Amino acid sequence: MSEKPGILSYHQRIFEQATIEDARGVILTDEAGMTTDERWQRETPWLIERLVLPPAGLLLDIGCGIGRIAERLVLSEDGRRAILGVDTSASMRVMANIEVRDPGHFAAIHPDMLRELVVAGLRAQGAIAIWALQHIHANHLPAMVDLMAEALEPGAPLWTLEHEGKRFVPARDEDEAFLWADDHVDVMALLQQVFVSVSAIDVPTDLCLPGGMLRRWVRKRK
Amino acid sequence: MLRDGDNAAVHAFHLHPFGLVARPGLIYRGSIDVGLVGCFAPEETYVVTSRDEMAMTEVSPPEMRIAAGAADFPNEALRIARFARVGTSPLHRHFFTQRVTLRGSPDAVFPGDPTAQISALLQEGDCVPEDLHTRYCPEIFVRFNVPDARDACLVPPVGLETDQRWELETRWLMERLAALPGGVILDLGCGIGRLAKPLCGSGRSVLGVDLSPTMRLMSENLVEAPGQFAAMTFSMLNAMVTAGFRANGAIAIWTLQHFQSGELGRTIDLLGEALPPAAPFWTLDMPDRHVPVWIRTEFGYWGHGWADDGLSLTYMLSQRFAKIGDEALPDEFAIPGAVLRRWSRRPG
Repeated sequence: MSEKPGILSYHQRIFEQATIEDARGVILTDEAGMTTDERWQRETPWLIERLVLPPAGLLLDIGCGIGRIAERLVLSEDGRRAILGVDTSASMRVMANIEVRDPGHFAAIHPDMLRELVVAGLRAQGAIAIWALQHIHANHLPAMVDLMAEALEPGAPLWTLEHEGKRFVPARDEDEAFLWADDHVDVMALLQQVFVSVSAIDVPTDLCLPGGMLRRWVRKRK
Repeated sequence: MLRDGDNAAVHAFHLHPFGLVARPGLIYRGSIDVGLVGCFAPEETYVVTSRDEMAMTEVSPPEMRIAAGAADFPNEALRIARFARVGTSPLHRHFFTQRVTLRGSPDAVFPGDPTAQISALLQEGDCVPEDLHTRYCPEIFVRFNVPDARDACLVPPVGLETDQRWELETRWLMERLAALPGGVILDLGCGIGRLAKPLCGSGRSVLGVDLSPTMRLMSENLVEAPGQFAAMTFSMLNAMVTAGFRANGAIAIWTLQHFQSGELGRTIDLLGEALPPAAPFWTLDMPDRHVPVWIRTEFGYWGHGWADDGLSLTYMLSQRFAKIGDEALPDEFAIPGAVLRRWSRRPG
């Protein structure tokens, strides 16, 4: 898929939203007969119950959006966790820095900045990527997977939530109409190059479209 | 949660008087340059920032009438300098809902003695210290637009405007900071990114750290290098350092002199942890401390001032860092006694 306008072009700007309500609508689209708000209210606690993460230390939230999960992860513990949200969207980062009302334990940064920090020695104790990898441009996906692997301590868990076997890449067609396109890139295969899947949980179909899978991974030894 | 269209009136009312009550052991410097009045009306939402060269002790208690879409100060000594619409800004909503409670109506008149109102507002917010005389006042660094933030970052000295000082001093500093290594530079007290921007422009990455939530947000916009810059709190920096992050160098320009007394030592320790041995660290400070504190005047007004707590920055830094060199700020900047110092992290 081209990054320039064409027959089917990647449309990164869909993630740049002016208001929190609009941002929520992009983060959790209406699907499976549910509105964004309904999905937000049902899926978020379902995830929080299942995301087994270290109780302390630094966690990465890849594709943090406006901080839906980060806010809960910070609040759900006794203040010993810090969350580094990572998102390419400038507007979502701003909103996340506001919505996660604990700036002492949260900051949102660009993926390239995370790369700089990892070069400078940063290693997280865990990471999540919730409905995130399915949206990344195919050309950038391997680098993101490698960055997540580099950014994690050995043995640190990575949780992903994806529609396995289907991608939802933001795109515009030749008429400039927006659509979520499937470029058939196998995200699981990419992850399996550097991570080992240690558990998988089917997401109930009353939470999202069929095929949603929450997986826990650990990084392979180098 | 404040929403657009809420029937809300006065939100915050800070008076910054000139007449101060001295307290033994502390030196107060009067601040008369900042007044913040937040007011909200159904159709329009504003933050009004007023500036006044006149001592508040000579101003009769202001009456403030909030009308739909406008604020009217009957006393002309209060010159309204800037209006900023904040109706849809989550930034302002966040700040105000943290600190104040909605009261009044859009047509309410707030007459007479403002002391009771101020006290009431303070008691409803989170800024009710046991002793306001010495309570740290980071709110002075919470500004809602870039011009105000620039003023807070660089108070104009006699004979210079903020913009002039901004340009001259930034250029002077960057000539010297060119000696910083590549990689990630820590910018303690990054403000709105005055130095982070040119540092990113030179190919470095900058991790800005600031206690002001508004300045952190503004900095990310103004630096315009999202892949090379991020701003966060000192607590987050602490978490990053615990997670192995080490910067290649650091700067703290007009920063450490403002630190809360009890936090200064911890921050210097954190900085020592964040830098590998021999990494360079530049500071620029006045010879004495300028700690923002809440004050109460003999007239009962709450406001802020600057206190010197007597701590020696140079001594405290020298415990963790070796001084490599120093250079006085040129006379043209009209800030006598200010010194740019270069340090190197001591081993161990």
